Formats: sequence, structure tokens, C-alpha cells
Amino acid sequence: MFVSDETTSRQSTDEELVRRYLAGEQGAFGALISRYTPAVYNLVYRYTGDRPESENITQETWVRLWQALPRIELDRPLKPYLLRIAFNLCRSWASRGHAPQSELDIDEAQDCLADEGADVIERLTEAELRERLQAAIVKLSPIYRAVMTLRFNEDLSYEEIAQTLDMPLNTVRTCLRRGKARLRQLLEPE
Amino acid sequence: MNIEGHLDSGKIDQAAAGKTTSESDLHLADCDLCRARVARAVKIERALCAMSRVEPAPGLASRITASLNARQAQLQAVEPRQPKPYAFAVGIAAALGTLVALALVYEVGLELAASGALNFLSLFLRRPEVVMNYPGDALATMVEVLPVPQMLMTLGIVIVVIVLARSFGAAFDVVPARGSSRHA
Repeated sequence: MFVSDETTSRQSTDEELVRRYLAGEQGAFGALISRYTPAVYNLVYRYTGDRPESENITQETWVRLWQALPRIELDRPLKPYLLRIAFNLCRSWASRGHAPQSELDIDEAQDCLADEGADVIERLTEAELRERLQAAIVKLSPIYRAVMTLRFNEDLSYEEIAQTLDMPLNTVRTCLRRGKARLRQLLEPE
Repeated sequence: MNIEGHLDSGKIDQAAAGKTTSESDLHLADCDLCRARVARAVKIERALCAMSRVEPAPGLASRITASLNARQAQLQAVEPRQPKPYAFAVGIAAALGTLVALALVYEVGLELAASGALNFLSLFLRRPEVVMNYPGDALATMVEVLPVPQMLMTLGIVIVVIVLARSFGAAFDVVPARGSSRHA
């Protein structure tokens, strides 16, 4: 069964865990679940903005990976592959008529901050700014949210983000640049 | 530069990442507004890097693990069983039995044709009233010439072949065994 031996699993690489699972050690897959469920959930939640749906999609992501494991290319990093499954499931979820948390009108969002003046960012502490950012990210479009999440939460390289989201490298750069510009726009009304 | 002569958002990002051009350096040296924007961009970038994940509810990983365990158990329950070791012997016996039964059917057919029993049967089917008017000893003679032992043997072999074929199917899970207690 998929119950992991915590101490040995923590030191193992993803590739080792997959190999061990394919060799019959069920607990190795449990270790992967423990390792990456927070990352998968975070990406899915940032996209959908819905906790129950995020849990369902996260679970389905693991089922899909589990089914694909015998065919997986072990020399490629697992995390982008796993997050790609999650992102594709998010897109399927959206294509079935579910609406990801919608982008608010920029002007409407700015109105909330307008009375605080342009130097609001300078006056905020780091913790306050992080809190504002969390709220502002929700107002970005889902694809920008996904790119920002993969870059800043999951620390993926541009290449890995491109691989995960199945988009050209330049599009990743553009999304990041525009996402950050829009965040600044939301946080620093002029 | 943007239309107001200040650095655009791309240049602000580059400056925040420490990648400036001589043109933007010159502008930044003279422009308090853009220097402030770069400082804010640096602060935002730092905050983004330090931004925490949205954490799942406690126990989600355990629930997923349990769900996959259940799925695997379910799959193992419906996986086809390995054929039993005697399955091939049963299959060969069924095939040989079929050949013997076909040979016997052929032989019985030839004997029935030679004795005139087939013609008699054909007449009975087409004009039963004619056969009914036959004298009783003629009918008895007809029955006497039938190859009864071969017919009985053929019937016996056919029954054996059917039983063997069912056993063969059950050994490969082709035909569900009666009273099987397997659940999907």
C-alpha cells in the first residue's frame, strides 16, 4: 500500500522514488504524494479559487500520474510533469463551464486602494505587502496566476514553466512581465 | 520610455532586477518618480518571492493516499486470474474430442446414407402419410439397420467435448464460473 517510510523517502530523489515504486515498493508513491500535494493544490487553488474543486482536481492529478507511471520518462523532472497534469485538469475544468475566479476590472480594484496614495507600497511592511499581493494576485487572469505561482511559489525556471504550461518560453516571459506590471498597477494607484 | 518620458514597465522590471541600460541609468539618475517605481518594484519582487503557498486542508495527502489504495485494491480484484495449470491439457483434450466427434458424425452420416435411413427420413418429412402406411416389419427392419452404437458414441463424445470446452473457458475466465463470488 502507498504508505511511505518517512525517513528514507525524504532523502530520496523523485526519480529514485518512482523507480522504487515501479519495482514494487508501494510506499514510495505515498512519499511522492506527501512531497508534492501542497504544490499541486496551490497551483490548482490559484487557478480555480475554489477549495473543494481544488481538492478534487489535486486528487485526480495523482490518479492520472499513477496511471501514467509505467510509461513515464524517468530522466525528465517529475515536478513540472505533475504540475502540467494539474494545469491541464484545471483547463478541462474551466472548459466544462466552470469559471475560475474572475479577473476584476482594474479600475474597480484600484478604487479600493485609491485613497491610500501612490506611496502605499513604501509605507507597507513586508508582511502587509505580502498580504496585499495575495489579494491582488486573485485579480489577475488565471494564466498569469499560474505563471506567477510556478515562478514565485514553486521556484520553477522559465523553461520548466514553459514545459509545465505548454507555452513558448517568450510567452512565459511576457506573462511574468505583464503579471508583475498588473500587480504594480493594482498596488500602486497613480 | 513611455509617452510621458518615464521608464516603461519592462524597463522598471529590468532595473529592479539590476539589469539597466545606459539610457535607463541616465534617466534614473534624474527622475525621482522612476527611482521610486524601481524601489517599489524591488519590494514587490521580494514580497512575491517570499509569498507563501495556499495550503491544502490538513490530511489531504493522506486522503489521496487512501483513495489510491482503494483504487489499487479494486483493480487487483478485477485483474484477470492466471489460467490454471491444467487449462492447456483441458484445451487440447477438448480440441481432440471435437475432431473425434466430427469424424464419428461423418461416419454415422455415411452409414445412414448407405442403409437408406436418410432417404426414409426424407420421405417421412415430405410425405408422412406414405410412411404411416408401411407395414410394421418394414419399419422394424429400417430401425435394425440404424448404426445405433455409433450414434450413441457420437452423442457421448459431443457431451464430453461441451464439458471440456466449458472447463477450458472457466480456466481462462472466458466463461464465468457458475456461482462465482468475484466482485468488481
